Amino acid sequence: MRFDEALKLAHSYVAGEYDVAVVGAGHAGCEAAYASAKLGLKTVLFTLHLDSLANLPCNPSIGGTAKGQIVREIDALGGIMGKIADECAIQMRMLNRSKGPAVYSPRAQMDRSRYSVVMKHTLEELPGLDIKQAHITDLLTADTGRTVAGVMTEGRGIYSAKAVVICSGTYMQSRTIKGEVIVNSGPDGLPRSEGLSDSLRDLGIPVLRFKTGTPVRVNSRSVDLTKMTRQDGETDCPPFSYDNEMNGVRPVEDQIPCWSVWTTEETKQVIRDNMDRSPLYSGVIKGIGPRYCPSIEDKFARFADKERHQIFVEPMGRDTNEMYLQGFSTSLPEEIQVRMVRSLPGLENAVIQRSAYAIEYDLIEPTTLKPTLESKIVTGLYTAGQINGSSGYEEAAGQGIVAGINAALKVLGRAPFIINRSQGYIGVLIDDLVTKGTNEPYRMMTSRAEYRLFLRQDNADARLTPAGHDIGLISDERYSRFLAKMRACDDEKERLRRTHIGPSDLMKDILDSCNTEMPKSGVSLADLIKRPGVTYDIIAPLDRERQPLDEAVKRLVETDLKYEGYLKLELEKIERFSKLESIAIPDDIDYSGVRGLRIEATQKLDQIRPENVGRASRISGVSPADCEVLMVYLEQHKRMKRDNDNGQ
Amino acid sequence: MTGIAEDLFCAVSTPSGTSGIAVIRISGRGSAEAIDKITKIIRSSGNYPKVSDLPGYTCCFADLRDPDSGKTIDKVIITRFTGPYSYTGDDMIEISCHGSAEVKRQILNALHSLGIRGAGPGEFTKTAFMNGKMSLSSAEAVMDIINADSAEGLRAANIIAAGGLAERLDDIEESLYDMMAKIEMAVDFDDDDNDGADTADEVGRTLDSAITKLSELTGTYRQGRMLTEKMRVSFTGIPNSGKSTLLNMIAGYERSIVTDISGTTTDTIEVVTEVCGIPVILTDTAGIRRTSDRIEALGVERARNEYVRSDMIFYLVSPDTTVEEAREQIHDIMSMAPAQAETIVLFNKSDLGVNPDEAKIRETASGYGVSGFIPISAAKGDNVDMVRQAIKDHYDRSGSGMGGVVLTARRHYDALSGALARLGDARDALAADAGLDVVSSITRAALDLTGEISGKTVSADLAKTIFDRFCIGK
Repeated sequence: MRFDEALKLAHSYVAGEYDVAVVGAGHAGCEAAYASAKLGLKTVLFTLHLDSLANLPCNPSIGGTAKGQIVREIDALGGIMGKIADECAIQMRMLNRSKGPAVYSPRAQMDRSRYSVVMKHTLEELPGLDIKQAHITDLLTADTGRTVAGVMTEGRGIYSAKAVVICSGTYMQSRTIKGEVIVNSGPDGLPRSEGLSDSLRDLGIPVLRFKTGTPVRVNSRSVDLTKMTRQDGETDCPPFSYDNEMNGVRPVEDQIPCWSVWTTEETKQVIRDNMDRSPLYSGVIKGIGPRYCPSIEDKFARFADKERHQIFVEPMGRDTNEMYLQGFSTSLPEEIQVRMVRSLPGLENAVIQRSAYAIEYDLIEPTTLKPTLESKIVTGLYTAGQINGSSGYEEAAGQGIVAGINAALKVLGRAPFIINRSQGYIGVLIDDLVTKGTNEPYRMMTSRAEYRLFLRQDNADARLTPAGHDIGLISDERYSRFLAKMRACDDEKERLRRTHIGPSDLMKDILDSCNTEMPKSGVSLADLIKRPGVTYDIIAPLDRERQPLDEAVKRLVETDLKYEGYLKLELEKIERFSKLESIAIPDDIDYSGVRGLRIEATQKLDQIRPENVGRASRISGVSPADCEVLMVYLEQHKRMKRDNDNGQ
Repeated sequence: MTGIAEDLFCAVSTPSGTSGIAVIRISGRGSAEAIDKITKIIRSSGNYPKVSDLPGYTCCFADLRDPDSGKTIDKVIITRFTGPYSYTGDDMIEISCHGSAEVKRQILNALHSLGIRGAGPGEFTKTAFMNGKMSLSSAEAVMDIINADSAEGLRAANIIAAGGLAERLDDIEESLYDMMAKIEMAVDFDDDDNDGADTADEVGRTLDSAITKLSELTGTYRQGRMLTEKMRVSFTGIPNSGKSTLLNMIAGYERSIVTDISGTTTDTIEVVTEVCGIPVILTDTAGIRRTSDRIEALGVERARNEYVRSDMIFYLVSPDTTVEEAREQIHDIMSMAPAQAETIVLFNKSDLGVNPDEAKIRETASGYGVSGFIPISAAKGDNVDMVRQAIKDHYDRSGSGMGGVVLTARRHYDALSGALARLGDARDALAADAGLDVVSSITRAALDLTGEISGKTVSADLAKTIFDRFCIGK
């Protein structure tokens, strides 16, 4: 709706004037609002329910493979998720310890209600940010319908804003499904968002529909944990936040264990007998669900040869008995859910506190976005999180901070901020979404990143903290500590390369313990660390000049040295990648005028309208020859412009 | 810095097929320095030790050598151009070499091993345009050239795909995607963090198998090249051993065209024909006999140059060939011929008698690794069919038993050779215990290369494999 029309509506009123309005206070919205307010903009954050701010409606954990890297990237930029997760963690683990440092991934179980409370309080304390419980039903635009002007609540309260960030999660026109019971509702029985997706559709933004789901929760009092496999946390994990890490913050000592069980023959039978009542198979659910997170009935149907599946039983907090059954999401009716749960070892008498459900929701076509997450259709409108087709708290938060930063930079008249594929998982995530789109909820995986050896959880600060400082989210004080860390790391690597030692009995003992052969002659300490099984710590007795160093610096030194050869190859790849990324395509290019482009390429390029040749090359249907042709055209264009300029 | 081209690329700029001379161009900064390693200047206008010392727009006469063996591939003329005054506007080198397909192939191989890649479609012209060497009005023509060249490559790929390359490649790629999916599965979704020992064994087996299959495939390029550029078969022996008669016998039967290159008896005669359906170039190298005669010495030199580029060599022994002559000439052949070439000794004039030293000659030849002996009579036509069959057998064997699948395009060979090298690196990384994440990253680079032919893109296809093959829970 146009802003001036909204003002003329009966009972409408001006409720507030802001620089940036953020709609939705999930993980994307909280990061966006936090970044915007931190950058000094007058910001308002709307939520449908204040007690569900930063809710964890699905699994009560943050991090995991690729996701843990994203949390560290958010923190490296000056975001908030990592700090709150550190504070609310009840168990921490580093996944993939046996698989190589590039894929080490931190994950923590959260105290779910505490996470929400701490996030709410942190945002309440932030100067420049107002938080309001309100139902936003309309996006308001200036005259032409091409520029955002504000938002309107259900009660026709009008908020003007120079930029709007929509982070609607799974709430837009959502409905939950349990067998035959279909309810118009948001997740966890919360109200859904109505009107907003129509408002977007009216502005010409394509609206899609996806589906996701969540498992049952049981009362731990009704569960026999002795029949399950115990999984303890680790106290030697680094925290998510680099700030905490540099300040020596350690994970809590009294961590709560998780548990795991396997499904039984009975589970399979109950599901098989009731497949006809699954809305996924009866055709009730139209939204597209994620392949990587199928419901349990979907797992048995698609992988019929697999006899059993693993289920994790996870605590949801310190002050609750509720436990979450990870891997057991379903949309079968409640009565079947009871039989399914009770077929699991140790859960024979389980009392279900919340049933599982599938949820369908509206989202927008992400290829209508720029890499800044600003809409190409409506200026000043940003979207982040599940509304862009992603899935997961971390993916949402990663987009939230980028959208929040860019909304703020736009209002401030500063240059936009883009993370590219070689700088972070957040860059890979956004580039995939806006360049290729997605036909299912998009989950980040390390295999989606081409430069995985470089995009590690231990160097996110090296990759992004300088940018965070430039933007203004990283304080000078934190930045100088970061610089000192980098310097310590470089100095130590240099010292290890320079220090050569000769063979000795001590060296033999140490290398034998690592199952590594003795060098034939003298060797540098750096070369020793490169050997399989050898660590920085293990060669300490050979390194007489060693000074005490922070754990984080030691790990970074060790990984950088061990990976040196492979990293060099990856950096060369990044250099080639950057070359194409640096060839800009003007906004007003007319692809139909580019001779030699194939028709399919012309259509795809016109649809996505990439900013540079690098992005163009990643669009499916655009061949390397098309990119070559495009580069010649761009040169022609440039020269024509120069000739014209000279002529005037 | 001139233009956008910073890496070096090369291509033969003269038409394909055999010609008197051919020109190979290299473009990019540092072209001259790049070939210093494989060239030795014989003569130039000054006493320049290296190509990179040559002033621009001058040329030199040089030995161009194989970087691995150090053997001379050809004596060439090298012209140096310095940017921006060159066709592309970047530094350029033009190598004028002899025009046989084999020489061109060997030179390109040598350049390739120096890291100089093959030019993309229309790349020289595109680079020239980007560097401002062509007028604005030529831009559209440039785009047309890129378009046409890439369409040409595509057509070549389609023809090969019909021959089963696509299926073979698909098979290899599928096993690698599967393997990577298992690694990625373990990395991304294995909450238990099982150690990777089992996975590592399986990864090793998959890599070994993919390496074997891929090298079989790249091995067919020799046959593919024989198809597109013809198989080179030379006949050699002392004067009057019956080479011309045999050649005419084989060629005449196939109704071929006989071309006498320069008309003197000491020169090489080339006949383009088909033997059992295989396109061949038969050469009758001048009768060789170590001699002080200048013209005959020249003949010896020519014969040696011919061995270097032969796919197959028949050495003819007549009843009056001595053991010493045979030893010396077979030694010459075996030391000059490429490793994959096959040499067969023919005892000619079987109708006129037997060479008294036949047993000794056989023993000597076997010692040098000659692969077969056939008694023939070129004049009467006895056993000439066995010679034909030997040629066909050699061709058949050079396809590595891939059931008719052959690589014929140089670019495909380059991409697959690159992929093969990467897989070797991945195997090394696995052996060095560098971690499955590293192995996976290097394998990705190999799949990027095979994807240049198959059109698959790693991220999309990998995700698809993971989702299709594994049950993933959250």
